[in-house]
Amino acid sequence: MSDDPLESAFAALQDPEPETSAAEIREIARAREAGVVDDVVAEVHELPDARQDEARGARARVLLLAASVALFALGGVLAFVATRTAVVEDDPGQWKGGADAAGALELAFVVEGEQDLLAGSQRSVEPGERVIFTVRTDAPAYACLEERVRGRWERIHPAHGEAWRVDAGRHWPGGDAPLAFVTEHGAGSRAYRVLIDPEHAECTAPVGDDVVEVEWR
Amino acid sequence: MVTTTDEELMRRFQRGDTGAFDRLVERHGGAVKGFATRVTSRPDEAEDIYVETFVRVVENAERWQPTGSFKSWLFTIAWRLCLDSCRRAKVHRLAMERIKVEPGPAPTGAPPVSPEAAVAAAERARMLEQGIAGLPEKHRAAVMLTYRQGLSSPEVGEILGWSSQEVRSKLAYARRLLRQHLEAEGMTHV
Repeated sequence: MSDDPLESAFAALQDPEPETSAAEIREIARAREAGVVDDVVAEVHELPDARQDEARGARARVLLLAASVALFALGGVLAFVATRTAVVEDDPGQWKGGADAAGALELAFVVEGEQDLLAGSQRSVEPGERVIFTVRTDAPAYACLEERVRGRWERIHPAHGEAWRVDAGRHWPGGDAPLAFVTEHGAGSRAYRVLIDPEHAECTAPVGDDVVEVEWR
Repeated sequence: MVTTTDEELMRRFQRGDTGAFDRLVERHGGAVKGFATRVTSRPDEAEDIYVETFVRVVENAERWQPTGSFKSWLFTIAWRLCLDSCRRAKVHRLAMERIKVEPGPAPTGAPPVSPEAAVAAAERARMLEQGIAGLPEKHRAAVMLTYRQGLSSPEVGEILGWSSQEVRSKLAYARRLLRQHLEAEGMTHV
């Protein structure tokens, strides 16, 4: 056992017990290879039903392929636009916009240098530079931006007691006068989080979040 | 006692020995599910990720080459599935409540522990689970692969797409966050 208390604590963690046996996994793989099922979450005992649905599934896959091609083309256009606007983004999150409408949530940032906004994938932030966070949602909500400091999330925007209401689309703190942010906690990698809450300005009941990491030089 | 290596088991499975595959699942299944649980903060998806990971082991068994460790290959598959899961739904705000920390039996051969020590260990594990859940997802993967699976920095870097130096830097950052969390929770000597 390690002398490091933190590593010892890791060693003491318990892993959850798998419910699916190795034999069932082999059966799922065999069935998939035979083209019986596409979805691994299908239970083994459901395989006969899946066989009966195979022909219908084949037709659906053709439609899915066509939709995938269209989505791929759309994704290419969006990626080009994102690059041109110099936005550094991570994976989009998901949240429920309202009662049942699913939507996307993205936290990203641009780096503001001495002269201009700077581009670059996952670039770090040099001394003298600042970041402007951007948030994109698919539905109106209150948003709260936070910084991870000493193991806790601390509010960046809005100030406590104030509200930051965002509509569908891309937004940044400060609106017409964008908030250019510099950490007060020195160099290093630091996480930033946006919370989305449809009802509460303080984001006390968030329905979604997204996190990005900024490397401060 | 001589333990058959993962790589030898995989070679046997390539030759058609399904029992060897079963032993690999038995050996690493819980670890893969635990990895998925903590990286995605979505215990409800961890079983699916565990199953899908080993299904892909079966599907790609013929192409597997023993150029690296089986474990690295296994967790590369698991990590990519975790990423897909996170992309589909990045709602992990309730992760801390959802992760159940159930005290398990003491490891075989371990000395008996007092009830007080068991309670303290369970509490320490609960706080650590909370701390892990508060890390960015890639950092969660890095600490789990390093401290739970014992993979080296180059192996972790290959899985996560980082250089060895980056792995060490990210681990230092994650350790700092974890220590701060544990100290804030009143756990000393971390």
